[in-house]
Parts: sequence; structure tokens; C-alpha cells
Amino acid sequence: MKTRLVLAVLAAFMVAAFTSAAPASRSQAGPPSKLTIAYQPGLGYAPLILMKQLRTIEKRYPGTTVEWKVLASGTPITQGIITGDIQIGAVGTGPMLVGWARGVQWKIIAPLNLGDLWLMAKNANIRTIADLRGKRIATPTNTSIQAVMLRKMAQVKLGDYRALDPGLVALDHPDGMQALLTDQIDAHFTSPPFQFQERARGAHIVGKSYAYFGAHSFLVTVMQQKFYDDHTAFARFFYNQVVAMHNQIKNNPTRVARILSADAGGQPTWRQFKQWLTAKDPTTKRPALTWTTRPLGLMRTAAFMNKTAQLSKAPSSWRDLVFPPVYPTRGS
Amino acid sequence: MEASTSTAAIPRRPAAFGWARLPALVRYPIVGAVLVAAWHFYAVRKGPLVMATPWQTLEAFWEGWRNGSLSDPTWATLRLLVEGVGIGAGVALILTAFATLSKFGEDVLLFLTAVLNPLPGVAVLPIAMLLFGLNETALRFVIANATIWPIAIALNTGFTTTNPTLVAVGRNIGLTRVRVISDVLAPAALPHAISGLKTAWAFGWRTIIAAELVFGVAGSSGGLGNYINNARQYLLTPQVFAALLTIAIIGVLFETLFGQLERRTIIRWGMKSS
Repeated sequence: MKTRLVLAVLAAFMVAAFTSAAPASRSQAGPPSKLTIAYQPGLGYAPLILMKQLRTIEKRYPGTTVEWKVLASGTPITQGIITGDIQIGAVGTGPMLVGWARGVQWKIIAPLNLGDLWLMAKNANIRTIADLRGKRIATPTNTSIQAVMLRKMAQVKLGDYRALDPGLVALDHPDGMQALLTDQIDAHFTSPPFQFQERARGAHIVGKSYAYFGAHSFLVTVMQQKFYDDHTAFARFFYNQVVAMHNQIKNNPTRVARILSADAGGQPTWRQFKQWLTAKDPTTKRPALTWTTRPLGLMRTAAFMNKTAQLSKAPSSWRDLVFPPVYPTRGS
Repeated sequence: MEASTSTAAIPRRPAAFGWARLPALVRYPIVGAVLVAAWHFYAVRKGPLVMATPWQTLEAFWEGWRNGSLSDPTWATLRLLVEGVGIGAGVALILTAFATLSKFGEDVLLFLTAVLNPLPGVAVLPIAMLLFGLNETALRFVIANATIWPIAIALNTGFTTTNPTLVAVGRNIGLTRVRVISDVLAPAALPHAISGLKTAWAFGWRTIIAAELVFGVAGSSGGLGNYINNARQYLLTPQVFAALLTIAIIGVLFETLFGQLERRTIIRWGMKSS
């Protein structure tokens, strides 16, 4: 009698567990009622920080609660999107492509920028890629765009894209910068503003990603297909907002720098941010970050990652990777 | 008759028919199959990116051990663990001998244990990385810290609870204090030593996996934690589960190993009831 009761409760529990749907606040049309946007530390996320500080989403859609999260790397953001905790994530093109190839149903809603990523070293004896053989090199994660660029450099200069793999260490940008400056690692493949900060503290540039890949996209914002289908108008609004923020950065760098500095708690100063926003490559004088929603180099990156077995499949066209608002930019 | 072979804390009424009447050889596989089936259906429901099904896990496990992608990191981690536990046991032995020989040593051991034992291994990792750099020495240091204190405590307990008559006999026949330690105290402390070693191994194993997850070294010198990290980054969920399966299997293997060790030594010698 008692056993039967226990079994019945257990069966009911299992039925409940298997049929409970994942919580979803979906409205068929219109904006989401709750939105979580995740990004990482770095200057490249400036358009999102601007949106956060200027509260542009809340002003346009008062019924939407927006939560902003800063996470250490693309991996937790990817996992958050898979489990539904995060709706819009800002990641590098590397993790975006890996997720896309793995079957995460996501695409790019708004590319954030093109970025020249620098491989920094502090030791004066490390001047070329060949010097890096057997040395410890830090990248944000093994799938990051920096790791992809490093393999490209190894392919071009050393003939084997795996030549530098044994020395790869995964460290997020702030930890990597500290490790480089305290000589715990030999090289750090990073991004603005960390590469500028390292250069200011005595590190030198060993390689630049633009030199090996041409101008290419650095950061993108992604959302799942399901979210786009449910909130198409909102997604288009989000894209237009990113464009608007880009214009702000281009036309009003002082105001933008003040906002970024306020968001960072005053340290670094707004003058420092303004300098970084407009920073240029020391030799070619090209800007290190180009603020545009036009994606460049996606197909090239995907093809290379496919060749190095980081991607199980390559996209047939750049349009496979982006949502309709991005089509008119004629990216690649 | 069922009541006498039952292991329940509260005596159960012997069942006339039903689950309890089946032999263990039938019960355990059925329970296992039910749990595996539940796992399978849950994994299918959650999707391949969140959970791997049992079959996918086995496939990834087999692949990983066949082509070395999983076996190499496992050996690397085990090697580090053995080295770390070795260092830990050695240092613990020295500290405990020092504590037995002098009051100052005992105070030092007490102080160090009170301060350093509660520290989880992974909490010490950032300091270790600053001191030793981003290499395996930092990991060995972290494991050693996780293993010294359980062993030292166990040995100290073993030494201090030795039968005083035995110690008196040893002193009586003229053994020096060092020989008293090696010939009287150490054998008497064997059950404590083995239990300390078991605890130390368990702490060390968990610490090394966690430290490697934080450490994030890629490439050929990576261990099991790094393998999990890499699989996570590439969204290869079956590989993550295969690594977890490896960890579970190694845990069971070591339990069996320690059980065998105990059976051949302290149980056979009557120092511990089986």
C-alpha cells in the first residue's frame, strides 16, 4: 500500500518534470517583456555601453525590462544563449561561427565593429612569429578570433597552423594583460583597449591581424532565430540603434568618451577613452577600430576555420550568418 | 529470512513477492538501466548542445581513448596528481616527525594546519600562479597544499594514539627517538595513514581538475580539466560527458585500489575490522 503510494508520487513527479516547458516570455508581436543583453570587457562593446547608459531601449519600449550582464568571455555568453538566459549576446566572430556550425540557431543581428587585433610581447627577444615557437601565448579562448588569427599567422610564417598550439593559454583580457606585464606569459593576443594599455607599458607589437587577414570584423551581436522571429520589429530597432551609436562615436567622440568613462567608474579618464576611440595603427595610421555594421571577412574567417578543423561546416554565403537588417550593408 | 539479510536501518517487513525478493544480480542492472533511460530521455529533451545522451557519451569516450585525445590528458592529470600527493605525503611525514620530536614542531604543525587546511585548493591557485608562474609547478603546489594537511592530521592522530605500552617497550629496549618513530609509531599509525591518504587523494583529485579548469592551458601539456574546458568552448557536449565518465571511472578504480590495499595490510593484520 505504502509502496504503491510512493510509486504513484514518483511517477507523478517524473511526468511533471518531463512535461514542464521552459519558461518563455514570448509575445507574438511587439517587444519582449524581459531582455538580457550580455557583453564582455573591452572597448569594442562601446555601442552597447552607450545604449545601456543612454537607456535608449527603455525609452522606446517602456514595457521592456533590460538587464545588462558583463561576462568574462564568449563561452558563458554562448551557454547563456543556449539555455535562454541571454537573448542578445556580444561575442567575437570566432565563437559566433563555432556556435553557428554546432547548431546553435543564431545569427548576427548587428556587427559592432572591424578590429585590428595585435599580438603583444614584452620580452625584447621576441620580435617575429618564429620567435614564439614553444612560448606561452595567451588568447581569450581557444575559439576566439585571436586564436584563429594566431593560427593564420602560424600557417603563413611557420607553414603549420598548429605550430604554436602547445603554448596556448586561455586567459581573459584583464588577466592576460596582467600576466604579460608580470612576465608570466610570453605573448598576449588581445584587443583594444588592452593592446593600447600594454603598448603604453612597454610591450611591442609582434603581429597584427589586419596584416594577415585584411580588414575584418571583430565583434558582433547575435540573437537566436526564434527570438528574431518572435520580435522582428524589435530586432530591427536594435540594429538601427547600433547604427545610431556608431554615428555618435564618429561625430561626438568627446561625449561618448565621457559616457564610457562614467560607466567604468571614472577610471580610465574620458581623455584616455577618447584617445583609444580614435587610436590608429602606429605604422599604417589606419584606425584600429572601425565602427560599422558592415561585416567583413566572415567568409574568409569561416573558410580558414573550416580548413583548420575548428568548424565542421562552412557557410555558403555571408547572408547565412546574418539577419535581414544587415543584408543592405553588402558585407563579406 | 529477508529481514536478516536486509541492510535497512529500520527493519522492513519481509516481502512475499516484489522487488526485494529478486537477487542482487537482477536488481542492480535493472536500476542501472532505468537511470540510464531517464538520462537518455532527459538529454534528448534538453537538446544536443546542453546534454549528451548515454550513447553519445560512450561514443565520445571510446573515440577519445582510442585516438589519445582523452587518454593523454588523463595520464597527464594522473601524473600530476601522483607527484603532488607524493610531495604532500613527504612533507606531511617530515612535519609530523618534527611535531613528535619537539613541542615547537607540534605548535608549528597545529598552527599551519589550522590556517592552511580550510583553504580550498583552487583558492590558493592565483597565489601559486604568481609565485611559480603559469606552469605545472603551480599545480603541484596547489595539490600539495590540498594533500599535506589531511595526511599530517591523520599521521599525528595515529602517532599520538599509539598504545603507550608499545612506546614504553620501544624506549625500554633502547631505541633512539627517531627509531621509535620509524619502528613503533609509524607501523601503529598505518590505518590512520591509509585513511589520511584516501582523503588526501580525494581532495587532490578534485583540486587538480578544478585547477586545470581555471588554468586553461591548451595544447599538448593540458590535463583533463583543460580537455573539459576545450570541449566546452567548442560546444562538444559529448566530450564533456566523456571526460566526466572518465573521472567517475577513475574514482571507482582508486576506491577499489585503496580497498585492496587495506585488505592486504591493515585488515589482514587485524588493525581494522573488515
